[in-house]
Amino acid sequence: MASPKVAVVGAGVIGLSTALCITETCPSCSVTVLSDQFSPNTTSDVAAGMLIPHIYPDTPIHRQKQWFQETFTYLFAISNSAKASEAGIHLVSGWQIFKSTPKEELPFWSDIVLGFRPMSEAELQKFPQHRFGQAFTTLKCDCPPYLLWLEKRLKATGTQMYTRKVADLWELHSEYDIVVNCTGMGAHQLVGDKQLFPVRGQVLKVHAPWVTQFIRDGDGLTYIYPGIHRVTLGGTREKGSWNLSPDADTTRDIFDRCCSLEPSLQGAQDIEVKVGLRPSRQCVRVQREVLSKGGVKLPVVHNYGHGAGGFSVHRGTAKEAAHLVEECISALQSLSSRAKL
Amino acid sequence: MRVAIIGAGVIGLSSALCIQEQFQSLLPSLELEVYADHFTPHTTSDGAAGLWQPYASDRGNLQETLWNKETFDYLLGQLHSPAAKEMGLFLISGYNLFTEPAPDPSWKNIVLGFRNLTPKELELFPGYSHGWFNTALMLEGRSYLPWLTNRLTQRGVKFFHKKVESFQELFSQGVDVVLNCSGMRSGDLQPDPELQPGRGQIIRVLAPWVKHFIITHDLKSGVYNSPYVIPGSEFTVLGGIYQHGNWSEENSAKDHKSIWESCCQLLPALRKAKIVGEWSGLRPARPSVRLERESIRLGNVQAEVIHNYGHGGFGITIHWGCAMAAARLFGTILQEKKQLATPPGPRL
Repeated sequence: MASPKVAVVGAGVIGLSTALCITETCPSCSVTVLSDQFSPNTTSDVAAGMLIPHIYPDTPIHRQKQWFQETFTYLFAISNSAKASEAGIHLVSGWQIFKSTPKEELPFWSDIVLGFRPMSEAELQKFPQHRFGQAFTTLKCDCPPYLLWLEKRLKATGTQMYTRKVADLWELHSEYDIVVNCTGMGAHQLVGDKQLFPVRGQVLKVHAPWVTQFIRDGDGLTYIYPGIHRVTLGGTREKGSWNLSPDADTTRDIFDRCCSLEPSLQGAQDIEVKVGLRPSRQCVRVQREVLSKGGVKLPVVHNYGHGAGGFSVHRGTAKEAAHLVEECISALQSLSSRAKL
Repeated sequence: MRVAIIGAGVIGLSSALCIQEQFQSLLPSLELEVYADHFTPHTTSDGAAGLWQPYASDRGNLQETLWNKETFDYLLGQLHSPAAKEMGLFLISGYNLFTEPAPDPSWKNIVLGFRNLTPKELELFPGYSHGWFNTALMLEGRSYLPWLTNRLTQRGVKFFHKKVESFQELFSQGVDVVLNCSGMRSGDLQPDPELQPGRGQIIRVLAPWVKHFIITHDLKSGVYNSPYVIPGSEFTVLGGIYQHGNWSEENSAKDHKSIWESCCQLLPALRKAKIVGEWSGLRPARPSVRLERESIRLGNVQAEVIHNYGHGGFGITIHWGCAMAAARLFGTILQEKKQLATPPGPRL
């Protein structure tokens, strides 16, 4: 197979980073990205893009750790280079605080982020309702810049990108040899995955340039994440809700909760409300599959179901998906060489 | 009782506020007047980035360390007040970098979360082998000085735009006590060979992705002569110039190049940053801060001057401790003049 034609469906952080990894591991591949939405209208654009892992109950911890390590190392190098501002990657320090001491004081990722340590008594005084905390420095991927930068890198490799709603993967079998499914929440419909469910998140993006520190309540519901131009205030975790419309009471509630952690946010300007559906699953689906219909086979690589942790593991899962694409290519090549015999 | 404060930088305005807050209610006849030839945004304090951080080595001056601590604790207490944003006050974390091991600074237990840098963090800064991480405060002069000015104006303090030529000039007009907060130009009022300019130059850029301060140290070239990057709420300050004895307030092309090259080497992403301004200023440097009373005999009257100048590159860092000390000296003067029955307690 001289130039395998690979279609990547989905142009959020997963789709774009997977497409990029494929161009890196398989330079002879012709990669095309197909998506009904591109930045700034993807789920990824709503997210703050903080590298703080979400725990997947059914994915082995060592695998999650490897994904996070790879992602962190990759982004760390970018943040330290001249490209950092264009790519939207920057370091941010801050605190994760708990109202009661968590049973696991040392999360699996504590040795990957920078300078992880428990908060001092003096630091905890800033949060009278919280009795325990962790201080560390991590990375943030600001969107749209990061997605636009991935798109730019893809274009430089000759990757084509088209706005197209794919209703059925079989639509693609005549034009492409391999399909990579990075459709996030779209996989619910597209491949009928009932294990995939939305967790609705509403956030506020505000102008508050004096906020330099992130603050995250360990319950995952309240957070303040300073980005390049805006601070993301969150949030909600509404399991099973498909509602993409902002809710005014929720906005008020998020604002109040964040102001109680950081009173200076009362002076925040220019409040923008956004909603995203975290494509959630007990484990991230990074898996090969061969679809079969009427004697025709279609190799598919799935890479979806990252829930609240997409940014944290995106590069690691993208690399894994790219390896699976390589396996598909080998399988197709051995098939076609056998066919020649 | 007329009190004149000479100087409207961070030292003058905060000293005025301390005295006003502590004594106005006890002494209804108190009239405070601020005299200055420059007001915000044209003072030295306006040019400073506003980072709370004393020098890495404390010159053996314990009193200054205590004033620094008092200032930090006071500001930390203000952090959650509704005024914080208007004051230009916010938390910021960052890095101090060294090319060789350095002893812990006097302020390590004053700031929050002080620790050494990990090897992974040092990878961010090739050429530097040691360093510190801590969380400190920013107090931006461009916001703080107007805030102080508003508070003072609301409380009836009068402002006069004029260059005072001598202490006598004020005393002959009926001023009872003078606070000399004239910073770099104190020498014009009373010669002080120990007061010398520590010229600095900075470049202001737009680099909103930088969320940490980075201060490098070169123990050979001396304080502030090594690149530093300090992000603020509107722009990021790039600096690294300290020229002792240089009175020029003109921006130098050579210094610009030195700052730009060294800061871009430290943070490569800065090459893409847009330059939005440049400024030079004179740090009023002195081996130690001059904070003391001086009684001047004028005819048959004893005139009192409280000196509060010579804060070098740490004026914002030390200002509140000094303002409180100046207010205490003022209290002593009032007692001596039998204006007060008993000394005032600390203001709650």
